[in-house]
Amino acid sequence: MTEDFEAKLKEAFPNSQVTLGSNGRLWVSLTPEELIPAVTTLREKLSIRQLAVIVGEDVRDAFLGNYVFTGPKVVVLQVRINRENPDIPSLATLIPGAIVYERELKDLFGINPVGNPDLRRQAVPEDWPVGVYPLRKDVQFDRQGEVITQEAK
Amino acid sequence: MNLSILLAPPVAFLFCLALSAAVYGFGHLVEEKATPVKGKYEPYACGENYEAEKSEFGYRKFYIAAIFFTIMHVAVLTVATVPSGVSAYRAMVYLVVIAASISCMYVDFE
Amino acid sequence: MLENLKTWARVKSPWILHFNSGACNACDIEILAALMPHYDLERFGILLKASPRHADVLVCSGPVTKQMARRLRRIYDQMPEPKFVVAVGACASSGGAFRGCYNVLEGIDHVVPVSAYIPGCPVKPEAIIDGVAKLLGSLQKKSA
Repeated sequence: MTEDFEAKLKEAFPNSQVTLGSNGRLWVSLTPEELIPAVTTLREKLSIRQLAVIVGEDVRDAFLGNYVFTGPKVVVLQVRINRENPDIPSLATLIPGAIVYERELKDLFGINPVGNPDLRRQAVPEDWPVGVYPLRKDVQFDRQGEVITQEAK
Repeated sequence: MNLSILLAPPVAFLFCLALSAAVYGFGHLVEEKATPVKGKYEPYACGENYEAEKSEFGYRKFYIAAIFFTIMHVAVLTVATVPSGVSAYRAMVYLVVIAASISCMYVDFE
Repeated sequence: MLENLKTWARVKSPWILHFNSGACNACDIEILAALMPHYDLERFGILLKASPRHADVLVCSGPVTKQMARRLRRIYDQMPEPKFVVAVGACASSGGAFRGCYNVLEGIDHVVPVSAYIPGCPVKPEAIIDGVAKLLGSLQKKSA
């Protein structure tokens, strides 16, 4: 069942790499420009309609945005985001619930969702210094929470 | 010695005053000193700063209902104390005229 | 004699305010379990109140996140004297699982003065009862 769904996914996304994870999830690797067309395809043609969560990751040479979609199957759209220019198109017009997750990505990684109508602080306190993104791998904090090294900005 | 002097207003008042002073005085006896921190005297708002401006509401609608109530009740009291012999129907006319005039408050002249 | 009366009143009916300063909620669940009939903290006269103005003891869980530190201090200030603080769990005592993280002050004693620390992750309700009984015993002894 998952195998024929994998085949359907491969034919829906011919330019992207589709892999089957060990827990039955299907991973599709995308670039930021392909994100919104991919989400539309998933929702309309393959009936995977619900966005469960957006998880950010910092692998050293890029950021990864994992958009977990559920329906009859779980499909994760993994968007590879450039570290120097971390802009991604926002899903806010398609899925309003994504606004909160994108705010969290912005606070913790500095990934900028272009088109998000609400960019208040979500995951860090109000008096957190601007420009310090805690979950990046090149930011180190000392015991008091002061930043001691921070390479890329 | 006539004990009904104790029911006389001045004596009863002073007795009540003394009683409440005794209760508060006992409270002061058993209290501990309060540390004079500014946050202690702020209204409790789950730890946040309380902004009084945000919780105010406009009194206009309440005022209109309350003044209508007051005027109509005074009018009814006037009617109830009318001397006997006067027809009650004229009193009804009086009340209707008053009600109509107060209802002008609900008209919004924009 | 008045001192004995005051001590008796304070030891026999400590009203608590429960506060979560950024915890994972496990210690909060255990605190509530301790108040329920099976472990029954209420037999000590303890009542769970909703406002710091009514409380004698602040029962606090969680490593204090930076966002909560100001609020915790404000709530502690709003309690009337005499007041005591009980730190429930490893996180409230020293940061626990979150020690060294970017967003926590490690332990509530960076913000408020603590009278009793109850270790555990999460705390066993028996440990909460033990800690509360020890706190009340120390109040009894301090005045005697």
